[in-house]
Amino acid sequence: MSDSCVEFQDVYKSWVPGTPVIKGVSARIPKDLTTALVGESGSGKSTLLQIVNGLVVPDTGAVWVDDAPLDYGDLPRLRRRMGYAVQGAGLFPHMTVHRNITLMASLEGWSVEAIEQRYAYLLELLELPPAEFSDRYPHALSGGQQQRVSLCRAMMLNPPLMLLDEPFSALDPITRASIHQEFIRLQRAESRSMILVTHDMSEAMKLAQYLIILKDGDIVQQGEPAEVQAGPADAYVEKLLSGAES
Amino acid sequence: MKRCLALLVLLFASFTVTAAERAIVVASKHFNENYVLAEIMAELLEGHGYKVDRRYNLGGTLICFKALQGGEIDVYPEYTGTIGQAILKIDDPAPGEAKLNRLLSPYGVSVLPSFGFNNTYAIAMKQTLAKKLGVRNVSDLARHPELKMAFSHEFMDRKDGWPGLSRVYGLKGHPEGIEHGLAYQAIHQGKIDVTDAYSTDADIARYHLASLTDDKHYFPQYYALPIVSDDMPAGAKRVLSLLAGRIDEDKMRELNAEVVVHGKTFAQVASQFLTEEGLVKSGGGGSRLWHSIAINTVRHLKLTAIALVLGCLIGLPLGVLVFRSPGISRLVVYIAGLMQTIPSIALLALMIPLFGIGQVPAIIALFLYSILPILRNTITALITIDPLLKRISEAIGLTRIQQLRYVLIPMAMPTVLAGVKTAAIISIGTATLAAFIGAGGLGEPIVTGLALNNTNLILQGAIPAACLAIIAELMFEGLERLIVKPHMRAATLPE
Repeated sequence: MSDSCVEFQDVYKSWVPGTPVIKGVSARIPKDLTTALVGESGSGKSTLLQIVNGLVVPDTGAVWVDDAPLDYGDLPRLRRRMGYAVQGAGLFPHMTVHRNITLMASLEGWSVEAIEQRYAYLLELLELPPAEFSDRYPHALSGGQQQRVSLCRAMMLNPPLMLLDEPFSALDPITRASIHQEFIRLQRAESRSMILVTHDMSEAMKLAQYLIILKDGDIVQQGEPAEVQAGPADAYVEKLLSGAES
Repeated sequence: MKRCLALLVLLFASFTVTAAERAIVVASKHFNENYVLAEIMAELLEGHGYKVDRRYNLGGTLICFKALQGGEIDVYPEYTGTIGQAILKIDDPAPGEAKLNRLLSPYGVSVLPSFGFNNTYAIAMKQTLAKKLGVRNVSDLARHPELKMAFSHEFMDRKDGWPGLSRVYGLKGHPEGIEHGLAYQAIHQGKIDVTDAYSTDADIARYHLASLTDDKHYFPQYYALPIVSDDMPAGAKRVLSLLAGRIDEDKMRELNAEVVVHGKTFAQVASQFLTEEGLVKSGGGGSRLWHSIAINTVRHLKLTAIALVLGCLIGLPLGVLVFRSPGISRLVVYIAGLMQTIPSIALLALMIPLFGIGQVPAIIALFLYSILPILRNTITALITIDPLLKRISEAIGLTRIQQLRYVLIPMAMPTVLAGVKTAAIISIGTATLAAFIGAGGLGEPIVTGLALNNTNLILQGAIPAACLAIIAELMFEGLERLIVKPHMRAATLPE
């Protein structure tokens, strides 16, 4: 058993031949911690995240998940072990909050009691009173409420790994601050591996225990937040850090 | 006991024989005289114990003849000149029945003895004027160059119209061209003296005109007779031969006038004629208005419903199958769209050589029409779903089938339903044209009414068809309310 949950080995990806978006990335994502992939837009952080759950297939290189090469033959099974939450929430508009969160559990054959127990626990964790929210449709929720529901959906199957693609970016600062607090509570309540994509260094500093900083499809620096703060590798990292302080 | 059993078997056998005895299919072209003759034949056959299936309103000579040749119908009224020129394409203005039968035998078709009248071009003038001038034959006109002549545009142009007529009879003068529909009015008001007509036209009697004798036998002969398929039972042919020579020009004119001028139904005119001639005992022919509307509506619903169900069964899965590939989607929608550009009457006509006449080709044509809106809406709905939601439905671990079932199809439903609704309403409208190929339905009274300029009859088809379309619209709205959440409904007009 290694201490990494995901490992990239010289991963290379381009959409248009000759202009790669991921240029030979090698990295290990530590287990049971929150790792932030930080970078400006176009740095390839989101693409790298989608390589983990097979939404994007690399041109060359290998991806290992839980000490085994990623199995492209049965992606649905792989993905049910990875929670996924994105910017804009992406809730299904024709399903109630309850259905959005519990769909996968019922398809996985969970018992009704197990589903309701886990559902009630998650809603409480994210401060969504079930009586008020269960039967609502997404269009009747605020942006912050939608994002909380989307986190519940990602957590429902109790996945060993969570993939989070800028889930807090579209929220107003006050809502974002309060969801950050809930997220930290959630990390403490259920310790697990998480990969958080963000362009916001302050968010990364606050929520992650390990940073991987990307620029133009390549890693410029990685390490614990304190290390990065103490010795930024170049002007790009400094710029990201200064943005975090202001 | 044994005897009882034998009797039972015999009874059963005789019953199956009766049931197996097929109906005689009587057809007609869509103009008044043809309807009357067809109905006379149909009722005569019924009077002799035959079961009759009526397929009136067939689109024209070639459709009728093809259907006859293909065994779709058994008999319809035709004219010797038409058989010679339009079907056999021979250059003989007066082909006899024996000659026609010789030439028709390779087609598996023959003619029976003529009803007895010749419906050809006629030269007509007011009876009073003709009597005064002593004009009885066309050749008499040469002595009266002062008479004002006006002929229909077609008659002025046709080789067998005025150019030949003036040469053969040595007529001088410069007739004017006139709209055929206006000629009778004009002659009635004395604005013109002489015009062309069809010899059995009801209007000749209505306006008290004299039809001059074609004493030099210039006009081609159009003797009316039953043209029958060789498959028709010999007994039925013998029954129809009873009509030989029973209807002369005056009689046919009178029968036509009964319908066109006095507004009687074909059934009334036919049964009255057959009773008078002693060919059947008192006929039915009463008003069966509601009954016929009900039958036509049910038939209409059947045509559109089957076509729509087929359209859904093919269109929905096909749309789901191809939407992930933009290239194939475009191609499929393009082909379905091309189908839509074929005029409906042309598409129906195209069905005849492939599937004959009746309900099957009509349903196939309606199905081809209904498939485009269903297919286009299904594909459009599926490809325009928010790409983020498509990505998430994959990323949370739904299989392809589950993505369709739980996310894509429910989200596409409002647009798909709108497509099915459009298809339903197009089908209800287009199905009225199916009467032209003998499929029946609400087009039947419309087509007949158009041919006879009978508004009553047109409305008997048009009103129920319009009601059906409105009911379909309301039903689909209800269905949408039932299965689509309010916030998911397709954009609606502001209330």
